[in-house]
Amino acid sequence: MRRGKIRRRLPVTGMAIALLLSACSEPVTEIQISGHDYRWRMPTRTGDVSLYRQTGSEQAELWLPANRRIRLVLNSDDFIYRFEIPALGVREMAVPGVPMMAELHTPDAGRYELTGDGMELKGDQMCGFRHQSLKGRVRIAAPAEYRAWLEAQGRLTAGTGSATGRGS
Amino acid sequence: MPARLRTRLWLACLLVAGPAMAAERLPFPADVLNPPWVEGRQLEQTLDADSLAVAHDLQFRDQQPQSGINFRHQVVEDAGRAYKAVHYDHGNAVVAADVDGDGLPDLYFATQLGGNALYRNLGNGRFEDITARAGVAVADRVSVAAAFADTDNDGDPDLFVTTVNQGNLLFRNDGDGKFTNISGPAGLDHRGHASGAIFLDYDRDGLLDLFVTHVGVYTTDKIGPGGYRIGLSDGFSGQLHPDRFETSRLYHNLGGNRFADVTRSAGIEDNSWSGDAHAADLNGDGWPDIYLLNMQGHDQYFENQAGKGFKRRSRELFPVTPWGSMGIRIADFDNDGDPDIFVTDMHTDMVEELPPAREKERMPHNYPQAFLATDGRHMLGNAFFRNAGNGTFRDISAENGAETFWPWGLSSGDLNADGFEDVFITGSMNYPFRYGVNSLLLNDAGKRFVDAEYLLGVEPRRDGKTATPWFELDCSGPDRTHELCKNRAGAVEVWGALGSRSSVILDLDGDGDLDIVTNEFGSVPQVLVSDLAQRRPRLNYLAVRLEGKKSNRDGLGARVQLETDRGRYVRFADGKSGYLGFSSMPLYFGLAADEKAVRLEITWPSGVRQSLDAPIDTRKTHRIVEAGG
Repeated sequence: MRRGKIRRRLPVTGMAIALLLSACSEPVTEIQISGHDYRWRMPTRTGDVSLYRQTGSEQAELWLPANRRIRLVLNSDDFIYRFEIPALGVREMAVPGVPMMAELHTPDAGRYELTGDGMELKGDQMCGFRHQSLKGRVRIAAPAEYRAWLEAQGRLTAGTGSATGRGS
Repeated sequence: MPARLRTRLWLACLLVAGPAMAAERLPFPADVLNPPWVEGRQLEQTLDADSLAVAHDLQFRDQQPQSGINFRHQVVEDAGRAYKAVHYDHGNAVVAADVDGDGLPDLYFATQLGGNALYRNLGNGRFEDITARAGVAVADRVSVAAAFADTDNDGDPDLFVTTVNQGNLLFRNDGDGKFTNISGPAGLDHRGHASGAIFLDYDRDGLLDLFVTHVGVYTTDKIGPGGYRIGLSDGFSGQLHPDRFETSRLYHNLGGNRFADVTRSAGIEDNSWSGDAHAADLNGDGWPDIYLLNMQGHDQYFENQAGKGFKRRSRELFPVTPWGSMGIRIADFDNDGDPDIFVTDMHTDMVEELPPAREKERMPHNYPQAFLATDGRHMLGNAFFRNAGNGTFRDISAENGAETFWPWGLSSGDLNADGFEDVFITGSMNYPFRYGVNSLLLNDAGKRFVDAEYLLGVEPRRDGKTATPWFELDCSGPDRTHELCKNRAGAVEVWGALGSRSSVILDLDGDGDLDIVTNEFGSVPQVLVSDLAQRRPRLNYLAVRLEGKKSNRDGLGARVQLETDRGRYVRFADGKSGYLGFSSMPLYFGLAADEKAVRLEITWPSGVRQSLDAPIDTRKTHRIVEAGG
């Protein structure tokens, strides 16, 4: 009886281990997000990428590549911020000097673009002083589209200097 | 130009330009002047009133304008135009003691800017400001907490005041309405981010020792308007920065108003972000233990080792505590003879803003684990640890209605004189948040707490006010880059929510019932006078003022038990009177329908047991002097 149970469990255990190994071996895309003067920015090797359209949108738009294991590394230059993407189960804080990490697996691209809808990005300064500019959308893009967006942001950054400035 | 003509031209200009120069009123948030939910909440409590078993035949009325108390709490800029989330928003104490020996409780209010104030009780609910002649304004420092206790056993209450990194103060009461600053010689002038202060005689040598809680470093070296140290922009992540930790301190009273820091030798070193603490004999061994609050982590419990020191038994006895503990009151809430613990949790209520309709609910989730920096075992709101009587405690806050929203600290007292300790909890976050209520929880026979702030006239506040002018901006001038000046020009008067911080429950007008006085944040106090004595001309109560001989003069640490034909009531002399507050006041027993007390038994901290048998007069304050002194 006992032996049978073991036999039945073995494939399940094996699958779990295989999944675990697969997850562990899956490359992780690390993305830095930082709070700065009530706005989000993405520090990259080529410079800061703003999550705000250059036309001065107050709503952040965070682009993430589809079907990837993502590690968000959250920082802050000044205050303590909440960073949440409820639909992806992300609930973290951005604290000066203490990087916080959140891991997630992004869904398919286009699933949200088809409806023209992204995922909600929630954020505010801890203790509830809400700033509209900390809220926004998450856009899941196909890898090529994501790369193009990132490059475009990099070009903008290179051309315009820091993209983090904000007149509040 | 002739002077007369010049005056006329000036007046004409004023008439023309005056209306244009009037500041724009900017309520922030937009509905702070008229929160849409207030009416519904009031209606809800009023409609439920008929079904309540607990006595509620009383009303409070804010008599501040008639009281002569014109103190106004003033906040630092970090809580105003330069708002940031930092510990300055925790505010200040109000405490009570009879400073001049006339038998009436006087009041002391602490503030951040502008100077503290001492009001002498003239009787009949009237007060006069005696701050200047008493010499206790401390106008050059940012105060936090205040504590009255007789540190030198000379029969009058001395005063200890904590400050934000500007040195604490001990004022000796000279007995003639004047105080002398003896902080340095007393050894109590430590500079740090001190907060609550409690007196206790931990070694029962007859001298009151002092425990001062420390929050941790939340300020910079930059000086702001009024001389305050500007706060860190990330003060609430202090639990992640060991370099910001500060140790709460235990001072042993050596006699002659000299104190020695014995924190380390007494084994009570602790780096919690602590705003307050409470002493009580929680294990019933006759020695006062200490429950220390942590506003950014786990609470701590230190068990007294027969006066030789303390042993940390926190997780052993309290494995789950709030993460953001702010206020505490230990009392026998269920009249079973042992102390229970009520802890208010503010910082968990900052995880997200619950809408008014959900204020009695627990927070649905906590901060991320990495931010908590604990084992993550926390209840998500206020805690009520019921003493099981066998040295263990069980949290029953989910069952007994102890949860409130945005609470600071609490005071307890038998407001309806039914024999059970009721609770007043200060609340609200002020600018830039929405209005939050103060809570009045009526104790329904020790079984549950009933929300009654709207029922008893504590809410709505006087004239229905929920907001007050908070600061002004010149949006065409130096403040044009301020966030609130976006799309605005000219003078702007920003209004923010009202909110209380500290409270004290006392019989301020000597009529036999208990009243409530608050210290607000950025506004004038509320002097909530009860009409219970007027509604019940034969109000049954009894008060006890202790006078130790072998024990400390205030009798702190004493257990007082009163028996009537129908009940037994226990009060503990501990001095804790509210958030950041420690007072010297008589112990109050409401006696419900019992007109007679049959036995009064006092167990003094010296170990002396003393009793009075019938006839014991009710409706009066008994002065009990320790026997065998």
